[in-house]
Amino acid sequence: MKLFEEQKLLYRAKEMDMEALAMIYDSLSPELFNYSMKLTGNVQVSEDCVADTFTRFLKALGQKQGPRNYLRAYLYRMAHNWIVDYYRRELTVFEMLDEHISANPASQPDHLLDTEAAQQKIRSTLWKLTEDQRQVVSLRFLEQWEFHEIAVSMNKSVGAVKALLHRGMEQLKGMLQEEAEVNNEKI
Amino acid sequence: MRKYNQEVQELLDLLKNTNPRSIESKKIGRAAFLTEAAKIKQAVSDKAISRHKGWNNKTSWFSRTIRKETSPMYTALISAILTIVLALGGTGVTVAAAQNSNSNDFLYPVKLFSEDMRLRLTADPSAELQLQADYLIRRTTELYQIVTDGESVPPQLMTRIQEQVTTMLQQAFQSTDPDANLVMEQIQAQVQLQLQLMQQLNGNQENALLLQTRTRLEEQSRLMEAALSDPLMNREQLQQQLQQQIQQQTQQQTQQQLQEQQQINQPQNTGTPQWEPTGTMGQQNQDGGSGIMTPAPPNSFESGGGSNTSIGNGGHQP
Repeated sequence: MKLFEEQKLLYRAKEMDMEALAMIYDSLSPELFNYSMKLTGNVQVSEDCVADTFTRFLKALGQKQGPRNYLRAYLYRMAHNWIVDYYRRELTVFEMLDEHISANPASQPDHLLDTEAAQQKIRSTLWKLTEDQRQVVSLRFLEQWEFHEIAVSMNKSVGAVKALLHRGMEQLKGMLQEEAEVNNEKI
Repeated sequence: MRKYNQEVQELLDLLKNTNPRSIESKKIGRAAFLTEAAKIKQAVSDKAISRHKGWNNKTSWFSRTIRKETSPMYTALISAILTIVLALGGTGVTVAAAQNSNSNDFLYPVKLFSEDMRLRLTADPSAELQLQADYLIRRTTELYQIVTDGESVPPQLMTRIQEQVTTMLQQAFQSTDPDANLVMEQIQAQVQLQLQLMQQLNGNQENALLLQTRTRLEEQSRLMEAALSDPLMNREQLQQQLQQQIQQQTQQQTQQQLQEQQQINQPQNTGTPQWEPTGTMGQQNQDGGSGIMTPAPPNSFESGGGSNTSIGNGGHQP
């Protein structure tokens, strides 16, 4: 959705225009679902994330609040915060991921299990980053956002975003190397 | 950075292999969302209705307390209060109504005035800059409305856009707030949209002010690009460049006004055109040649100005 189209839709949504609201849901809910899936790997959690994000958005509109300009960035920020809150509230991410992986191992082909194991590995490493670093790395590499879009979404300067990304990637690499070394020692 | 980026990115790419959302789930989610939206919409509308419903019954105590014979002092007091309330209330209603006006509307100057007042009342510089950014979005929406409706561009909108962008850039360049760059990105995004919209207008409407605004915005957009691409760039230098642009703009406007004044005065003097040039056509102005040229006799018009890329009235035949 182009920025200007987004602003026009937001302007109409603030007036509770149902057609505009439907268009917003149609265009942005799949993106948010995918984003949540990448971070959690859980369909039900991602469905809840999308539903709660849009409900909060509606409540904000009803109270004459909500985003000023950048709707997409606002919804992503809300979804990201929801995921972080969820893990804080419910259970640790590692428990969650372990449950997901070991839910039904026998029914899945080996290559799928390998992929899921690798996904779990990178996800759990990603969750060891700071909140800001995780958000920058996710938006940049999983969603392919531009730096200025991330800056708007996180209410930070482009320079700060670049610095966060640099540190985040350094830490990710360090953690993955450490893990590889530990595995080698075990073997 | 590329080395570890590639390594880690390969792992991150694994996370992209997710199953898309099922159509059924999307349908259910969409229906729930729209139902919730309808409830909120209804709740907002209900409040509006209930405010007016039965108001005369609720205020019946008032009629019981009014005496049949009122003292002159009481009448005068009531009149004064009513006058103040109506005057202030009327102004408030007008200002509120003006907020939805478009640039061709009668109430548009009221909207601009209310914006100016609000900006003057904002003490915090960063809050003022953010408010300016919001008002710039309004200008984009107004411009969009003009393009959609196929209306002519009102000069006050063009002037306002120029003033707003220039003021905001001055503030952003002077600001030491780290968020100033963020606001500058917002300005840049709006300016790009406005330029796109102006290009759509240009096919039908060629006028000096529109061209002048476009050129000014393009110049300012370049300045912003330079500032954003290199955060360490000398801000004083940027401010100087902006200052030069403002000076050129002021000179152009002054000369344009003079030219218009001359055109008005000419028929009153002799009835035949008398050219009294204040400069020579083809000579560049002191500001480096990007300003407008002063009028010159028609017979000297073709001999000059060939290489001048001026904007405004100076670039056109008088």
